[in-house]
Amino acid sequence: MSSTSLAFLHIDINSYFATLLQQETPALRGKPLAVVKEVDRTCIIAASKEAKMLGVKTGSSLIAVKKAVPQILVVPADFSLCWSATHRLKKLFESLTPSSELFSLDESFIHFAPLVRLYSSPLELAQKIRSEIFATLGEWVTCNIGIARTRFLAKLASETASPDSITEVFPDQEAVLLARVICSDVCGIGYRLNKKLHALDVHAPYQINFIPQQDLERAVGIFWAQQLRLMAQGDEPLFLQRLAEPAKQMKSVGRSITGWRLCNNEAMIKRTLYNLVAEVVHKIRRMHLAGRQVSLFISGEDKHWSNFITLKRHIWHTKELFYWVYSHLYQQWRERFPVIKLAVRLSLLESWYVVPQSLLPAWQKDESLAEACDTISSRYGLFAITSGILARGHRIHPEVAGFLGDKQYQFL
Amino acid sequence: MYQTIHEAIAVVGVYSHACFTPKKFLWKNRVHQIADITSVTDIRDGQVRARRYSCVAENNSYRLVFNRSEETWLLEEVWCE
Repeated sequence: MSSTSLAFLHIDINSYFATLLQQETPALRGKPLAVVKEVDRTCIIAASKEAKMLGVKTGSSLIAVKKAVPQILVVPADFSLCWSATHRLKKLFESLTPSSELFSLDESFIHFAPLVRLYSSPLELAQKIRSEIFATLGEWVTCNIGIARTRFLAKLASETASPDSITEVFPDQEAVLLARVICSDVCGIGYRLNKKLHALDVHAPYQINFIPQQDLERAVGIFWAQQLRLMAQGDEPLFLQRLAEPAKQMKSVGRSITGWRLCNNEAMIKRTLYNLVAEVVHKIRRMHLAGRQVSLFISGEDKHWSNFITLKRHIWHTKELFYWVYSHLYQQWRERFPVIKLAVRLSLLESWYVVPQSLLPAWQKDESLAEACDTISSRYGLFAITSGILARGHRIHPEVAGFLGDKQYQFL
Repeated sequence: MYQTIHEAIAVVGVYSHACFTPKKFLWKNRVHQIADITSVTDIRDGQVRARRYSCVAENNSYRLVFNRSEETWLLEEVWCE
């Protein structure tokens, strides 16, 4: 088999959230666009190609951006639009190949090997994909496609290229690519790892090849030393290798929310915690999972507090999880401060078919009630039936995250 | 920014390749000719399924929502500069 037939393609839609909004509303096309989660939010979660050219970055503060780019247009994100487009993209890739791997909301990998008899080269397949995306999502939607020996190099190639381009990395160009890109732009190298690499005077992944193993291990630990060595050679780190494996059961399910303003209102905090718990339990019940480690995270005014408890038995009822979150963990929070962010997580998940059920009549009653609620929710939607705590006011609904960490749930 | 309207409308369209494409809609006794469908979004909550057609009519953008269970049409939102 030739080296091209072993190639991977990485498809990345340019400025996904913003581009889809521009596709939907022609009045927004060609204009610098900042996407915020909801109206009145101040953190930019996505920027259009035009805004990026003016220096607007994801995660920037809207106030600062408005000063620097006064002509910026601010629009709320449309998660339904993005999720529907991701579904269409997934269907499209599955119609082209049996080996497509969805990496995030707007990124996929395709292995060329099974398609070697259908297309003369990976480049021909890339051109076909580009035209199909155009036909499926609309004329304004563009993508970058990287073609290389490994998923890691293909992703690096597409991410460092200019928008709407196909980039093929041949074996003799791999070292150049690895030497040209900066570590902070490499998927897998986060803020802290990048800082440690800077301390070793490493700025590009290729430089890792020249760091003695002992020094690298001392700086980043054995696991990351191994992963970084793979990256420096253009090989796939573990998180990309795992894409080829069948999806495993989720280990934890969590939900967080950041409010508009600091909150001291106990009733509001209780209500929000119940809302988050209800969503977590809805997800684990749909996946037939139960967990036994409950975590709570609170932050506000640059202060953070978190706590967790590991239970002896698994839980999968809203009532049980809310008891541990609110009546147990939350009540242990002593040095109170105004809250802006709340997060709830249930971990150590197992299939509920392998964990023992309680025989207590009260628990059996709760289970019957939860099953009835599941039936109603599956028919009429989440929160069609819920506790009186959520009866009035705004409810927090599930959202899709860009990295699609809960894809097993989302594609149920 | 889109402004919420949420009013019932009548829609005329064509079926082609098992796919419905709206062509015009009647809102407040006025027919709006659809020039382009810019996006189609499937929305689902439980078994409640809806399909949102984002379209351009007379140089303005509209979001038409078809409830697939009740087979009703709503003009959900209108783009206002």
